[in-house]
Amino acid sequence: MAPRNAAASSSRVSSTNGTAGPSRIPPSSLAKSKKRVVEEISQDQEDDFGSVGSGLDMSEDEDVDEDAEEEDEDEAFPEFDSEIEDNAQLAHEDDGDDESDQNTQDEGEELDDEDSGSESGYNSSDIEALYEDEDEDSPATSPSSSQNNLPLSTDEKLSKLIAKNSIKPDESLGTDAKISRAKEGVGRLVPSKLVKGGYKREYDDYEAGYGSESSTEDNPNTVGNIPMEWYDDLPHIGYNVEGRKIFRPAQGDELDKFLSNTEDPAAWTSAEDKLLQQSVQLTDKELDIIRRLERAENPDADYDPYQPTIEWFTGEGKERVMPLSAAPEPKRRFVPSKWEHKKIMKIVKAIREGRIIPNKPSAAKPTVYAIWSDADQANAPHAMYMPAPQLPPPKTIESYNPPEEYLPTEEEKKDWEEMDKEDRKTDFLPEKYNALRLVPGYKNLVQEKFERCLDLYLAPRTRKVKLNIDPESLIPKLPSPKELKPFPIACSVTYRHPGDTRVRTISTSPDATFVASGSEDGIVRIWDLGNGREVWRWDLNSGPIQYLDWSPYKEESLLVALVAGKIVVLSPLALVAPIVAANTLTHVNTAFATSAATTKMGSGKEVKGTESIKWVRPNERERERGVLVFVEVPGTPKQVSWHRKGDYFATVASDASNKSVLIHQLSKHATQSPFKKLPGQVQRVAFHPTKPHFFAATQRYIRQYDLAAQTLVKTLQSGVKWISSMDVHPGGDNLIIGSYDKKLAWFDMDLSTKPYKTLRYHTRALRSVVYHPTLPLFASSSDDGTIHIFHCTVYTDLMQNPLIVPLKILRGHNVTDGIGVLDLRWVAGKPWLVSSGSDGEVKLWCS
Amino acid sequence: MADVPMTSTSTSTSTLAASVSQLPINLFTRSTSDAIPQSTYFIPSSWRRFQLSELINKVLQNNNDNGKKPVPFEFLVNGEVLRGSLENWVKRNRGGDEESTLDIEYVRSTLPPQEAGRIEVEDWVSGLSLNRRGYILLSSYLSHVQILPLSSTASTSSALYTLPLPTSLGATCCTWVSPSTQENDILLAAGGVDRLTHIFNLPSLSPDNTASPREIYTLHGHTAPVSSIIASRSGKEIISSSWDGNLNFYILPNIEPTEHQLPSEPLSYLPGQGNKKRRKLEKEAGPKDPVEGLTDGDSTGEGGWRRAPDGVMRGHTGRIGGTVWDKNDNNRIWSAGWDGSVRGWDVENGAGVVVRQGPFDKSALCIDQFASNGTLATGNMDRTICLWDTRQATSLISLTLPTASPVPSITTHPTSSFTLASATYSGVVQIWDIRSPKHALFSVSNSNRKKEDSRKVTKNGKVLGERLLALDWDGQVLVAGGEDGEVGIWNATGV
Repeated sequence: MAPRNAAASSSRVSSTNGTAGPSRIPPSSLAKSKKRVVEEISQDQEDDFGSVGSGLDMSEDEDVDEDAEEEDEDEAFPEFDSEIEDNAQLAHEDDGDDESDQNTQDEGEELDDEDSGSESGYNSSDIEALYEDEDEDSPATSPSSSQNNLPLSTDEKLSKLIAKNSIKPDESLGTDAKISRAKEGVGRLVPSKLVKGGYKREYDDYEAGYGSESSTEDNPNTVGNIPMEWYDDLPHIGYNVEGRKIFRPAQGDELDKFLSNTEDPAAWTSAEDKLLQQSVQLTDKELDIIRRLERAENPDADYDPYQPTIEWFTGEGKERVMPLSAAPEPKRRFVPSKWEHKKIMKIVKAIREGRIIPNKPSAAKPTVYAIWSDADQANAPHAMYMPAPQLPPPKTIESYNPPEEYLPTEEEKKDWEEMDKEDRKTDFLPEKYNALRLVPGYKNLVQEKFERCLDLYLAPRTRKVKLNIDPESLIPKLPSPKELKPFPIACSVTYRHPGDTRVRTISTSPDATFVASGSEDGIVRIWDLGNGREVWRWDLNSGPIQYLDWSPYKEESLLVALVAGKIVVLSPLALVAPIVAANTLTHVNTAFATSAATTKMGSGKEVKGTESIKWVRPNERERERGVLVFVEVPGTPKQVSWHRKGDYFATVASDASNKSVLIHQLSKHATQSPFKKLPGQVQRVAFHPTKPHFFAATQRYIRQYDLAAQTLVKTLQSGVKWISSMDVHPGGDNLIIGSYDKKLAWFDMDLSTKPYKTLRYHTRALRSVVYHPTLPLFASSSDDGTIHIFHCTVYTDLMQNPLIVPLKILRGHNVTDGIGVLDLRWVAGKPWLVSSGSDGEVKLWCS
Repeated sequence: MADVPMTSTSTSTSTLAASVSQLPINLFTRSTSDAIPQSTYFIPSSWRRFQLSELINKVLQNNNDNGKKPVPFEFLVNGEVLRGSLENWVKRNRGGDEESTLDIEYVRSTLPPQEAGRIEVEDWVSGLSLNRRGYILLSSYLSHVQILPLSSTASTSSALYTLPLPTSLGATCCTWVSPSTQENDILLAAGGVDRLTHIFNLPSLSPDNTASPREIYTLHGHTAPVSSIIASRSGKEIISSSWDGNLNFYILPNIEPTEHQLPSEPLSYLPGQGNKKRRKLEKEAGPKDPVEGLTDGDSTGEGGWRRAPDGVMRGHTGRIGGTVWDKNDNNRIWSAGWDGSVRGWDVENGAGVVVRQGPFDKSALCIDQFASNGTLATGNMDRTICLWDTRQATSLISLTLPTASPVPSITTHPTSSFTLASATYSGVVQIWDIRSPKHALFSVSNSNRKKEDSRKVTKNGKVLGERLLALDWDGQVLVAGGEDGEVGIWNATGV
């Protein structure tokens, strides 16, 4: 687009140039010429006082200025004429343009302005506009003939004007003025060489008088103002006027120079002429100039700084007596000016043709108003514009002659005077005067005006933009918790632990039958989920139970308990169906059967770093009670996570350096340490619910490993300071962590490695976060003694983000020693939650 | 007849201030014997239950002249028992609108339960039965079934008989099997956490009996603890329900068999040690040390004749909370489960006839049936008592009574079709009239008694709490027991 436009514009320019023709003068010259015309006119105006016309014969005391001007210009009149012609042509061209009406109108307006102004005449533009028409006529057309063309309908005023100006000036007076001296016959008549029999006039040469100027000196070298070293390699130093080479004058060497300097007394007054490459002897005059310059004097020798003043007007014998001249009024003052006549005739013609309308109203009122249009309205103020506050209109009480009821009584006056200035209802006391001329000066005027000014410029007149946002609209539209029932609401069952012990961990059996609890007195208890009866117990005698987890495999009943330095595999054999018990025992004891030894390392082969891990068979009495295997591990394992198939489980012992994460296989009694080097202190581990992936949460990061490919899949950046708990959504794409710095972070692993949502609802550190295995629920527990229940819908549509709705805060656990609810587990298949607190209570929360 | 109440009211109002406003009231009842003519009565708004009751007695002419005693009546307005004056009720519930007619139902008033005694037992009470007049059958988590005399009001009455279960895992339920008319060789049953149903034979209940009771049958078949046992009216059939979701049907033989139907279950599964060897060792080594938590010294050891189920009814997907034999149809039983369903089964062919599936989280802990109209009532984990009308095909839950905590046991009144008693985990026994479903008629708690002599822990280290687990009511006496290791006895007539 842009080039085409450019082309178009250039073509337009060229076309206008074409129409303008070669005679079009550039605007600068036009302006200049206009200016000159103005000068002329002003000169004419001046002449009005002195002489009648410049074109008439000039008296001897014509202004010196005019002479000088004439000297500046080659010819006075032709120049003037040509200018007028140019302007006329210009105006003519303008006529052709669309803007001609505008021009004429403008001119008309200017004319009106001039009318109202001085009588001295019209300004140049009007005159120029007038001249364009006159050019068509012969300049010698008599005004009387033009009078004949005058329509009869012109008004009297116009005809008077015409009559006044239609007296033809005496043209013959001026036309024969000595414009050129050629006709005076000053020169000699010489037979012409070109025209046979013809003569031509030859004149004497002028003595220009500038022969002495240095600028006119003959400079034989014509190379111009160039660095002369360009000719250094050449034999010549330039060319003379004829184009011949000027050869380098012979130059002596440095010794010659030195000798000439010492020997020649004039050497020090000579200068090197670079153009001719020779030294030139300076003349006395030049030396004098140099000397004067040295003394910082005027270099002109003729300049006399102390010449006597010539008192032109006050000197003796030169005293002038006003008026300056006693000469009689020149004739031109009484003779109508030919040029003025021309100008006036031009105006008359313009008026006659209707181009100039005298007394034209400046703005014609429209005949029809668009009453609904707001074009005549003032421009709508800016949205932020606020007008200054108006003063209230005066009231009756402010009148100089208010009705009687406005006049204060004496008491009121007294009250008013006693009141503080700020408390007064009015700033003044109404007073009654019978006549306006009796009203005295208002002494508070200055003060009031000052305060008004203060009000005006100190009042912040800006519109304050108030964000008018309904806070409700900022809250995301979440479904009401009532629609998301069922979820745990109230505590239904309490699993009462004897004594005063802290229950660190709980676990619910996958068939929602039993609750296992591990307390700090080292006892694992199995409870009837429904009525809170303790039905089985194991006293492990190994310090606090750190963690418990049922195997998710329903065909077996396996429970892993963690104590210091030991992993204990338990099974409530007496409580479960015989077939389940048999399955469990077969699974756990197969490896014992294949190897008589009670200790086994690795899976048949030696695995480095697992030497200290032993699978130990408990004694018979313990086995009768369902204590199936001890796995002795370094450190204190803190968490266990089962693989969904119930054969592998992973344990974390934070204090066991590089063997903190261990994966145990129950059927082979094998233990592997999957990480040679750990990325940090691992807090929690979890198996991916569907893929062969493994999650390990360090203090700040969660790493997902592919166990089959032995690679790191991704690292999730939690943004929390210390992860306390982790759970993986049963769908496998989402994960929640709880942290000791009160945050719960939800990761959408398809979305980002940063948390999708970070919830900070708890006021203390989080201890446990768990997803419900089947229902869209998750819960978090904290040291503030509360359990928060959330709804979470994870959509199968990948484009839709999970919906998280806080549902319920369960309170009921007491905070003891700054520790609140330690562990949470959902009951499989039911919207029920089991929680254990540091107050030794294990509670079942039902819908 | 209609002018009688009008005159009575006019006389009574004449004594009161003339300015007392009057309320239009419709009085009606569902019992035929107490019906009064239907009419709209204008009754002073300051009247309370007592005046209204007197009014009805006057209309019914229940006075000493007629040889009848005045009957106290209870008044139900909009399913709520009238406790204050009519004016108060109108102010609270109708915003003081005294012009619209009130429909007030009146029922014969029941007296609040009177505590008659408490019997302390050694462990949590898991089941109670009052089916045999004068005796309380009790099962406890100490794996005991005890028979207590009801007549004594002493709080420390000793058990007449204590029947231990073979394992010490605990008994979960108990019932009389033989009909209450049978005096000799009385059978009773108890289900245990050990997945077995134990049938005991009690030669006689007479105090001069010397023959000791013994376990005669052990009913196998469940893979999870037994939750309830019911016996048919004849005492020949037994149906047990379990946590595994099955109902097992057993027919007891008329004469005692001489051999087991099943091999014994191993008590231990240790590899490389067959049971034979173990038994042999056991015999050689004398009585074996009890396995901690599984057996203890006082069990009878062997158990009775092992029997397999004669039929299994499968259908529930979760634990079965309770079962009830239909009180009118001898061929129908009802069961309610944790899956939120109530199912009706045909006993003869073991087919599930009726299925009413409620919300999946409405886990039923117990079920009972009103004898008169066959409505089923379940007590649920979600703190409600639900009435199920199974006769209509479409209706599900006909009425919900809100409670404060889960209801592990309910019993309907033997004759009334409106009254039921419930025990809750919060330790409160409530008597409900389903005509006033918003609030229980009476609530009695066992937790507000003196605590200074109360035990905290049982002898075997189980913590005692306030929860109630079992309740029975025969229309005269109400017994309830649970976690507190006591059986509370109340005199509650209900109707």
